[in-house]
Amino acid sequence: MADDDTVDLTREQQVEQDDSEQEQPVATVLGGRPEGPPEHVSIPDELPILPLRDSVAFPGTIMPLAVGREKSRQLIDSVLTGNKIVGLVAQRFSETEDPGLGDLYRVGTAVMILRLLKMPDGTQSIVVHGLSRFGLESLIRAEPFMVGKANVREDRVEPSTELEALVHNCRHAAGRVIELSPNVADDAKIVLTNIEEPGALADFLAANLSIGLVHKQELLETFDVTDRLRKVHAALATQLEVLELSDKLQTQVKEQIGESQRQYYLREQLKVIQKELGQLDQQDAEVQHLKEQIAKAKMPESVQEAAEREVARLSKIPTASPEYSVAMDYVDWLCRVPWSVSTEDQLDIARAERVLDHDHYGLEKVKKRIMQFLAVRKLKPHGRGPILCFVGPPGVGKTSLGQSIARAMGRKFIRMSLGGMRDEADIRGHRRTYIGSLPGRIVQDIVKAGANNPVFMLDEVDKIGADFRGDPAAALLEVLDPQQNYSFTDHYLDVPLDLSRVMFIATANYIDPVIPALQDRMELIELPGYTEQDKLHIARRYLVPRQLSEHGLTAKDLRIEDGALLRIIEGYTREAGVRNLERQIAGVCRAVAVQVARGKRRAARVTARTVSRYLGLDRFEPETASRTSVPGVATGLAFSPAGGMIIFVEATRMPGKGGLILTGQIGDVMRESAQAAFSLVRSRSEKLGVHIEKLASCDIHIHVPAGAVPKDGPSAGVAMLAALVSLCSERPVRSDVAMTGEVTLRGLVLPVGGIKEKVLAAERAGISTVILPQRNKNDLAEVPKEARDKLTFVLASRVEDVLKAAIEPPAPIGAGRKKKTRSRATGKATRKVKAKAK
Amino acid sequence: MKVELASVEDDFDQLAQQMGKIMDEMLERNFVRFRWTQQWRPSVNLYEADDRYVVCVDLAGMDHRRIEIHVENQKLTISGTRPGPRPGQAQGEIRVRMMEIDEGPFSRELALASDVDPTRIAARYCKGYLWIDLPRSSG
Repeated sequence: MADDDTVDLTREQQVEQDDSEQEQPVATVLGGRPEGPPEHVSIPDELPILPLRDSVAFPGTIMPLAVGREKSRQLIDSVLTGNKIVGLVAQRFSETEDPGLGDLYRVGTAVMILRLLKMPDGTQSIVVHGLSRFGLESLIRAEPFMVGKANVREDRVEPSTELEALVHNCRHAAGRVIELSPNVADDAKIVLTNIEEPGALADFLAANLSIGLVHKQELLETFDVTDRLRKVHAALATQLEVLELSDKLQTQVKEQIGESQRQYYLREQLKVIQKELGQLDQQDAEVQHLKEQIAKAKMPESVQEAAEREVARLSKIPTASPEYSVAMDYVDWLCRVPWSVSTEDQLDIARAERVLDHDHYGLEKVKKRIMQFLAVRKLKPHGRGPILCFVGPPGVGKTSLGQSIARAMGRKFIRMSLGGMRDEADIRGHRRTYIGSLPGRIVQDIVKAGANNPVFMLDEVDKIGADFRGDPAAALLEVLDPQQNYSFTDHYLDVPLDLSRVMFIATANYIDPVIPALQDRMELIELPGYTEQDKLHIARRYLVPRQLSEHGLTAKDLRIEDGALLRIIEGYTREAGVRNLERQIAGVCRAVAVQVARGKRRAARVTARTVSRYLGLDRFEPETASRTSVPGVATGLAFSPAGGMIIFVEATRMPGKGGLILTGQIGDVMRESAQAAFSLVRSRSEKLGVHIEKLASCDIHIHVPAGAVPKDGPSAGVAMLAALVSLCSERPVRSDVAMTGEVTLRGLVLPVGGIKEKVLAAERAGISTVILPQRNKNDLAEVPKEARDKLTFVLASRVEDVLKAAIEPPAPIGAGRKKKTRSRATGKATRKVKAKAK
Repeated sequence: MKVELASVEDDFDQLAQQMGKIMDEMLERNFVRFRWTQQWRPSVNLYEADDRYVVCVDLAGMDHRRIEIHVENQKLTISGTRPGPRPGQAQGEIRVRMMEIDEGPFSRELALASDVDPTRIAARYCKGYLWIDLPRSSG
């Protein structure tokens, strides 16, 4: 075909064109164009008939047609050299390959061929312009292509109001259809408004309506314009209804998902913008950050798997979801646990000893145990940590001892107070399913410490509570068992955490309330109360310097002499620990601080005599002497969480029938031991020098002040016996003697607990002689030497021994004098237990 | 006040049509085109100078005597009928393989700016172009 395109410019052609190169004037006519009928192409009676598949051509429309069939090619070849007018008639069935007259509709459209196009794939297309309708009357010939006898049909137009209305309505409806149809070009609307002829309008719309071939053909065959418009209008209305309905549906759906979609789009856009700016989007950044954290945390394999699983889940959850932050927090916690971070133990025993000695006075037993622990650690670095439990009265330094241990070992120190804790979840955490759940305190504190081998102090383990939320003590069982705690599982973390490298230290004032299973897991170390000498040392070395600095004073401003300190210890405090002592020293410091602040230059010197200027009158005085001057009062020794103390047992009698009244908030055990003592007195009245008749005609009342403080235990048995005997024999009990021990009906004195504390309490109270059960002899070894030196001990195995030592002698009693133990003041014959106790 | 010389837009402005077609093809939308008259529209260039407008009409193959130019009511109409081209030197039967050149009756209307002096309009035909001179009335 390329040959056809090439123009062969021959000589003759150029010559022919010469004259046209000259300018030729063209007449312009001012004024109206001569009105004549528009040049209409006349349609011949004989028309080549081109069958159409699946479409109908309407007058006025311009449409492309593919020319495929050989017959059609020949037809077009023939027509294009002539008048280019063809009759288009639709086939009834598109499958018919070579249609005859019977296969065609009988009304078609005469068209002018405007263009013959060669398509890129080599096929031919024609563009035709519809001219007018025609009726196909008959075929003139069928070969090589059909030629038919055509009868041109003009539109029948009868102007009427209905026609006008139809034109208007059709335009309006068509306008709406164009608006609603997404696949109709907008300029169709311009065409629509420019067509004035009703018939042409109907044809334009008919050509563009999406209706079937049969309907289109029907419209083609409707020559009456009003009728045609009516049909077009009906079809338009149907189409419009469908479009409007689907539009409405779409709008509804859009409204429903509009808002969330809008947010989604905005977020996606934000992501893209952030990416463009070189920032990862927030979620990616967070996930990335977590991954780095996980890599850094050096977790055990199983934990790392759990963490990575959670992160993988995290990247799929939208950030707005509440689960996102839960998962996020969880992984964050996992990363913060010091899985493989530990402090290096300082196993220099000499240094540790120095640290402990520097921080604490005395407490040799505890220090020795800590040294042992360190020594073992040194020999076997990965042994299981022991669990120590310091038991002792308040203020003796249990907590600060824990701190010293941590310092001595170079470990982190964690203190967790269990006092009042009543929820198991405090220890073990909440499950992650709960909103606001957190790991338990153990994990939290270890995370806070940032090392997996801290010294972990469980303070006040005896004050743990329990209620319906579970028993924290039971949860502690797992924590404190060296056999189990290498895989402690917190409910929140849900992965095992090795606690075996943690050194647990528990403290308690009193071991009895601690459940036996827990007691069993711990190594108890008792911290006794301090003696006066201990307190003096502590005050000098620790309390005074600390209080001076806390009050902004220097040693130049204030000097507290030892005598003054002793006076404060004896007269102003009564305690096992040193808290009150420190408070009193602080009181002295405050008073001096006022003077210094007023501008007084001279250094203050506090002596035993001037203490009262600073602290007022003595709060305490040795009570024993004044109170035991009457028969019926004996001094007992008691043991409480606050340390040992002296108690008084008062007995009196009144006319009655031999009854026994017990008061003073005493518990069942103490009540029974009082009854035992009473029965003993009655059964042995002869031996004890008591008149049985007197007992029968009166009631005895035993009272143990202070009445508001609950007391219990069997150890006051001997004191009650002494009080009863003293009352009945009308001989007072010696005021400087204190006693402890359980009595039996056979008259035996049974051993009791807390000897050390009781002895220290007796010493504090100004007692000179202490009566103890014989079988408690070994306990004396624990009593500090100074206390032993100051006191005289009487070891009693039977009640007679007690009474001999306790009751004033004037009235003679039956037992021999040889065995009587005298006070230290009486001289060499005193049976000093000191040597034996050692 | 000066009003631009502008072509009367009808529904078959070729360039616009072409643009529209490209757009429509891109957007996959279409509709059956419609032309009521059988006349085709020749393409036009319009130039503006200080003293005149010049219109150039692409009208190859015309006999200049058969081009009609009318001016009325600020409207310039160019019309006529272009005969179809015939390959004169060919022998035997001729078959058309491509056909893209418009033929037959044509018409083109242009609205005139208000300052065009209708009395001095002149036109000439040269090398297939029809040139129309539209002098502007001074002042």
